[in-house]
Amino acid sequence: MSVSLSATRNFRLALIGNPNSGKSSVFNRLTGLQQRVGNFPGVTVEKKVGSYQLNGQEINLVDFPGAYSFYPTSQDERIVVQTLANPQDQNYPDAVLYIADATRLEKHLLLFTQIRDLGLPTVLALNMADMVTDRGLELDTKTLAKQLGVPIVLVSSHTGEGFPELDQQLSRLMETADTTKAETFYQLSAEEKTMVKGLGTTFPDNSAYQNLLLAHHYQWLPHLNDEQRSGIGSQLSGFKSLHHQVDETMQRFDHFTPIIKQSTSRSTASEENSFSDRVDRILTHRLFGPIIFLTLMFLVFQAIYAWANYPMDGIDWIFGQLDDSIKTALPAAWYTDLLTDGILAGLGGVVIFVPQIAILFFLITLLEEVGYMARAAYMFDSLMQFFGLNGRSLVALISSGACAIPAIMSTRTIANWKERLITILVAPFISCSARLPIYVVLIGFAVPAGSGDGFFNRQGLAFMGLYLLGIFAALGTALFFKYVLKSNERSTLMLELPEYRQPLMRNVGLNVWEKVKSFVVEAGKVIFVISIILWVLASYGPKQKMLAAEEQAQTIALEQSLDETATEDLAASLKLEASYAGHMGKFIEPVIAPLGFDWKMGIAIVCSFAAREVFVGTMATLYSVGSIDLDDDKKTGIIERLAAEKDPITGISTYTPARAMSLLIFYVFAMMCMSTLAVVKRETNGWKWPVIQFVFMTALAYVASLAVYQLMS
Amino acid sequence: MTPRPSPSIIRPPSSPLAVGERGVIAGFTQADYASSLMAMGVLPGSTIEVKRKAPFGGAVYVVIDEQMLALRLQELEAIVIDK
Repeated sequence: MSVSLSATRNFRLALIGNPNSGKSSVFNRLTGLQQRVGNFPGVTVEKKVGSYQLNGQEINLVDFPGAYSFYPTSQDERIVVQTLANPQDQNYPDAVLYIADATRLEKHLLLFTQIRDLGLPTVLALNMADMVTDRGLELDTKTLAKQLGVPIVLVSSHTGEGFPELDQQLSRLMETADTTKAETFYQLSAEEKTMVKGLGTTFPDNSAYQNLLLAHHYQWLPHLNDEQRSGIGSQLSGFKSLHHQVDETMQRFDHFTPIIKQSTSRSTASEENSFSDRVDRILTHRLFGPIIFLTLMFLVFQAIYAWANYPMDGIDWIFGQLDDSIKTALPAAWYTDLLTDGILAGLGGVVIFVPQIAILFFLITLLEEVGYMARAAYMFDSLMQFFGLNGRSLVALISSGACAIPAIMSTRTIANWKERLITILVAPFISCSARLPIYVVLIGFAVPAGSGDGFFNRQGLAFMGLYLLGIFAALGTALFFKYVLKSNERSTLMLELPEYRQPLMRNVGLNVWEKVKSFVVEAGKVIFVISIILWVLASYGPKQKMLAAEEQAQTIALEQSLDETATEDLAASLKLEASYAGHMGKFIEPVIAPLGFDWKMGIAIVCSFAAREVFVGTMATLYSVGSIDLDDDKKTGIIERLAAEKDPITGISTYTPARAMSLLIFYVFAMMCMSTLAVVKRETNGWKWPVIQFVFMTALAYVASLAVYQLMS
Repeated sequence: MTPRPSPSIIRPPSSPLAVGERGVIAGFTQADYASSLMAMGVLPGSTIEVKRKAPFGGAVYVVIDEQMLALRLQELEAIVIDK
């Protein structure tokens, strides 16, 4: 086996390992900020690709989802075998960097032996070197390397030790093609040999083991066509895939366990993970466990509300300064207005919420990195099952508090289709970070700040209430689907609980950076375009109507003897109503009027279907076109703009508690996110489920808002 | 290394472990559970200890060869144990 590499393409290195092997930490250490996130073809399993320089050559490092074996139990795990069993796959690697936990070698090498049997050049990195001595372990890597037939490096993604040596081994692998000795770990049984020989006539280029994998997985492997599938199926009469899997797994362990035993020695008695066990005595305690979990979640969401205020004020101030300096630097013309009232107002409405999103992702990633999320999944598994979900759904639902899209993608670790589908359907009910901006802006109007505002202030509690409402909606809907959907598929928990470890700030930081970046870039792009379009629609209208609005303003001003500023304000307001945007809003007003929404809110709601956070940007744009009745230092604040919004004729404030609450409730329930629907379509292979989801969420939002507005006003 | 005949690891169920009890894994009651548990390193010959029950029941916290795992009760029952 040689590494053939065309001159035009970078060396492709696959990073593979069991879950909890510290694979992502190795990836982050090797690539740093040189990484981007994409998807594996045809599926939404997240694919991280990082580039990494070695001896002046660029390596593309592809981070595969953690997997235990070529016999996958979840969608996520399938990616590994489906890519490696098909040399034509666009992600098929030139070589593999296999990561195993050095303290758990006897559990982490099954997949390694399977990869070796495919003949892929491999470097074995034994991670967590810093823990080896703590555990009283001694590893003879030379003997191990000889016996396993691959170069072995002891590394620690926590301390960085061993990475220079890893570089050396990788560059040797690239230069000399494959230096590793081919070692066959699994001897096919006589029955398997005969069957594989038969398949060999159809797939002559495949190795015996590749054909064996085809026999196990032909029903779902995406690179096979229907003809090939039925061809393989017809040759497999009496082949009991499960029994062969068990036998193969057993034989592999029997092969490599003695090898590991030979090269490992234990000088002191192991502490038997006493630390994690002692911690879990409290953290997963039958009574304290759930209490601690709920307290943690409460603190997370209080922290967002409390900590984010200062940076948000800072960002607000910066945008205010920018607005002022542009207005002074540029002449008063349409393009200055477009720049400040259109683009800057729209973008400012998004950037201001970066602190909250960053804090939320930071805390969630921290809990995940420490190893707490797996405990949460374990504790709440049976409760989740009551709602037709899986313990793992809890992790997805919590991530949904940041964004439904990664949450829906993370459901691929749930093996049971019904549990996974229900998780996907209800995840968008959990209030995501895109709703935060809306909640923050509107909560001030719905719940006036009371006295005794401290840590547990009334607005913070209302905020919590909105989140709880989303959770109840999610669980209620899940219960409904539990009884509606039918399934006989096996449901499993079988969850590894990793040792508690100090989180690597590099991992946490990179994850937060990536999520915030994609929020700003993706949301920013949409908001940029929508802000411009809206500004145009809101600034221009049918000529006659615009003139009529101007005249009407003058008439009213005369009648009520308004001063100059008030007259201008009134004119701007009436002109907005006469503009194209006003016409569009008026068109949908009859539908949303029972909910207490006016035409301006209508425009914002329609635009926010592109992404919820657009709502705030849209409001910012609409109101900066409409209103100038503000103090200079408060010019750009969206909250101040809404507060200043009054009925131009009666002078009553638009944002009454009833109206604000109705809008809030609408956004708790409504499926206002194109991207989520697109991901649901991809994950469920069709439009059926996203359409059902959109209809029931919107219907619930409409009815709930209607009820709230009618009761409160 | 000579390939050996595969052991019969599919066996009739044993009485399940109670919290605090230890045992040695002898096999599994069903091939599908065997396949996924073995991939995670739950093997015949491994030692198993049931540490505690989940707060709302239904699942247990077990330690298998120093590795902590969360298993549902029916998953625990699929493991055949020699006490």
